[in-house]
Amino acid sequence: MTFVSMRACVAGLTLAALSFPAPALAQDVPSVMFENFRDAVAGKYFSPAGTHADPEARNTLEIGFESETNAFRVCAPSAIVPVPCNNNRVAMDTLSFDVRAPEGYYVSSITYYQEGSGAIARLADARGAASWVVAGVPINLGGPFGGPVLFSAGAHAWSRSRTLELSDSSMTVVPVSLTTGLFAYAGPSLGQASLDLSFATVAVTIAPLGPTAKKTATIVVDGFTVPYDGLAHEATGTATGVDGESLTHLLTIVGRFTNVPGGQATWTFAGNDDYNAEAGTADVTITPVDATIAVSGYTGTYDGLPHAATGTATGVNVNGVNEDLNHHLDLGASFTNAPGGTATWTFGGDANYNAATGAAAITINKATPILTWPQPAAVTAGTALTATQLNATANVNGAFVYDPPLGTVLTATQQLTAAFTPADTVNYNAATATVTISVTANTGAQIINPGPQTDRVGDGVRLRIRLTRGSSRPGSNKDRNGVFTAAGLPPGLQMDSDEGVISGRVTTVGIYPVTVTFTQNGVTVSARFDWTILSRSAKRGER
Amino acid sequence: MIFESTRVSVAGLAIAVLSFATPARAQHVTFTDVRDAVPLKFFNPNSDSTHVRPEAPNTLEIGFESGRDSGLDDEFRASTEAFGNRVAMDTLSFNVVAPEGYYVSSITYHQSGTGAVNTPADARAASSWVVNGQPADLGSFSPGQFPWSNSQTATFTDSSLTVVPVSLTTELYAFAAPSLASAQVEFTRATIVVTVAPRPTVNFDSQLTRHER
Repeated sequence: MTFVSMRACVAGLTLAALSFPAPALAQDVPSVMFENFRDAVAGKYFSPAGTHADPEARNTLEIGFESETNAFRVCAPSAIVPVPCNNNRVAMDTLSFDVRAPEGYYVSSITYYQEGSGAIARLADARGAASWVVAGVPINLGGPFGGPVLFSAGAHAWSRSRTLELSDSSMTVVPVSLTTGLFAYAGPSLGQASLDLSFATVAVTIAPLGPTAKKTATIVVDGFTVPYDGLAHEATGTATGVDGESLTHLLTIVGRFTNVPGGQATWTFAGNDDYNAEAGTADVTITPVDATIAVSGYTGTYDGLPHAATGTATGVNVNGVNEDLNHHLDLGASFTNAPGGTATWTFGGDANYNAATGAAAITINKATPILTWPQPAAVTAGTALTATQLNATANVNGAFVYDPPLGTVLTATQQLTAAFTPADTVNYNAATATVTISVTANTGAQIINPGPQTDRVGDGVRLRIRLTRGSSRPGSNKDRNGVFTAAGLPPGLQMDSDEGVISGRVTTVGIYPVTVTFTQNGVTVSARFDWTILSRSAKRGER
Repeated sequence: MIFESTRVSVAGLAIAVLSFATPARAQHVTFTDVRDAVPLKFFNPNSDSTHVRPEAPNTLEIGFESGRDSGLDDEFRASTEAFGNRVAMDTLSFNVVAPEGYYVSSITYHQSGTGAVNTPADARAASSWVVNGQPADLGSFSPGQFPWSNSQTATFTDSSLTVVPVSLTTELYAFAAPSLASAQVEFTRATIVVTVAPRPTVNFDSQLTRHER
């Protein structure tokens, strides 16, 4: 809306102002309608009933006024004015009405014109002001009129004019309200004042509604953000007309996006006779997601083989199948020896899947060697332990320590223990095996242990192994009907298996653990002693 | 539309009038398109001045300008003092919009002001309003009625009235014999209080029930 204001404060302009130009209209153009006249102060000031279209001025409304003491007039005192004003010091009224454009036209401008007269003599004042509201918009009709400019005894005219231009072609009915207020004051017996509003018009111009301007639909095509799910995504939208009607059938959206990062969908609204075509874009953003990664560590016993984490990487479910992402998964290092270690796995990811990393424990426990120790045959009390009994074996390299040790003479049934220490202590535990050897009572001969023997190299030796049970021929073992053996003899010596005599000439310095046995009727007894061979020059106790 | 007016013109009753009862409000209206006729003077339509009262959401507290521009006071006052406006007139317009499912059932306008004269002088106030196209006089006030106040209520029975345009116009005037007297009249407070009522709905179920019987 545009306002054009015109103000005239001198007498004689009334007629000129009334003749403000109105747009020329063809004779067959219908006129506007002024309707719904109402005022705020019934029976005074403005007169809705006296308001009428001017038959001589097209589309002009001549506003009516009440008369006599109800005229739109203020005075102080009332005696000074030619018509009575009932000594009104204040007069204010509002006139409301609607301007209705004829079919096919809209209201293109409204001009309000009002005029009056006033007079002030000596100590007095008279003023007024006016405003109007057009289509809900309040507008000042200019500064106050009256006042000192009218300060004289004579009558002076005032007028106001304002034009409101309307460019909105939808304004086919325009509500208008006009408000004017007048005041007058004179000091008692000191002056005179009067002011009135006596003439007012509203002139309207109209303009044809041109070709219906196309309207603009409301297009709602929202972009969106969605996590990657393996599915194609496309923007959706609606098109709605100004009256709420759906125009979505005229909306086309192009762009389907499956993978990260998505893309920009383009939409076009085709428009039609009533609506403008439009186009635009909407971002479809697809964000990467986390793969489902299941990695397990390993716990097992050393077996000489490398061990690593195991696991899988899968993605979103597409058509019932989770995407295989194992090719992006590196399970990290493998471990062979105890105690193992930590495998750091990495998932490389790709455009649709976020990279990831993690750790898995590879635990390799030491193996326990498998010991094999055959049950030893029963021995007769007095038998010394030999490799025959202490013959445990293991499936890995290592060393046995027996308890009781080799050479121990057994006197009763007892448990034998073999403690095994593996050569590879990193990957193998120590182990122990036990057996129980049966020792039967010796009802026959027993070897009398000759005790430690000492000789010098070159000495001729003769040592008889004696048995505990007596014989018919002392000094001979022949009647025992048994067999003697000796193990570990110093070089140069040999055992007479019948006589039980060790003889010969020793040749080599050393300490020799000697075990002698006697077997009779399937029962073997034994004894063990050390035989020390000294050099020729060594004293006893020396080597 | 029915207007009911209350006018108080004796000192001391302004506060009492301010407490006029407002019907219970189930929903909150909105006040839109607040504009005035004289920019930067008298009424102040800006939202930081003319605003909904927080504790009473259906009450619009109308704001006024202050200070002085262009050599004359901006406040809504007519005065014979230096820089005073001899005449002050402004119109404030806005729309009252009922919440969804409700219509505007009444609008009450209350205004109050002060004034003083030292004769030979005069000061006056007059105002009117237009509600939904219907103008109504809000009265005028002379020095013997200062401080001045009045209120008027427009009630509506038309349940289709969900948006109601309102325009308020007040004019103040002051004159005093030069060097002999003084006069001033001031517009100090104005509020709009709105009530709403539920819009009637057609009960199809009830009609159907009657048919079935």
